Amino acid sequence: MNHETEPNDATESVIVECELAEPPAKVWRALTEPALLASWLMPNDIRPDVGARFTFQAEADAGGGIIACEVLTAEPPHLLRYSWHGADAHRDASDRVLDSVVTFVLTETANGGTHLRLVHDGFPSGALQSVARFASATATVASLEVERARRRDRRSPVANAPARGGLRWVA
Amino acid sequence: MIEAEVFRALADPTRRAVYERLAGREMTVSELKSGFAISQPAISQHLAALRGAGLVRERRQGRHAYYHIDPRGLAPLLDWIDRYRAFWPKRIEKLKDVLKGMDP
Repeated sequence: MNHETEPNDATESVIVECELAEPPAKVWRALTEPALLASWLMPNDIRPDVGARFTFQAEADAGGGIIACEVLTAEPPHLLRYSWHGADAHRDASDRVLDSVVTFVLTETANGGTHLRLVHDGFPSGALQSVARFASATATVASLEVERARRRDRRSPVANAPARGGLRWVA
Repeated sequence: MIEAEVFRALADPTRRAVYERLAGREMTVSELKSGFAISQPAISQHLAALRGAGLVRERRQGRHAYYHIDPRGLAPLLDWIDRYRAFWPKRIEKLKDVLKGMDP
């Protein structure tokens, strides 16, 4: 594992970065061909055209149910963005509060490989962001952190792995 | 599902603003109202939604009701993000294996 965390201004995002030996064109295929994508992510019917709607059949670690997506940007083989509507949101089409966005940025490295940057952000309508921004000025943030640590302690070793990117409570 | 309730409660900008004000300090409904251009019943409705989602608590003292946020109410949001903080690194590891097995 050589994921790295990069400081960012977002208060609520998940970021994973890594170096891959394969060139961007090959990585792009793994991101956009349904069978290949299914073999590492989840069963899907992706079509990498802007505006195309597709779904993932979410496995348990993604909350189960159906994840509804729409391609927002597709610039092969460098940039792929799609919206990601979690299972809860899908129960009701008008319920958009769980909208988030997944972005893959592929950059060719000097040795012909790929630097992959994955960002999952846009979490619950900026709610956490505004709350975190406000809470950081108060003692509230301390109790939030305590609660967060308490919950994390109950988790499995995998979930306990050091945060890679992730939620930051600084404004 | 409580998770969805929390998201829904905070999705409304006015309600989020009410929540933010309460994050500053405990207030009565009339104190809260002074910061908003909406009616007291509307404020009360937002408070009811926030309380229903476990985000805000009420404390009664004499004839007055005071409202304050309960940070534990945000736990479902934190869980949701934590889920993906565990999810993506695992999947990227699988992606590396898939790439190794692909045709050139």
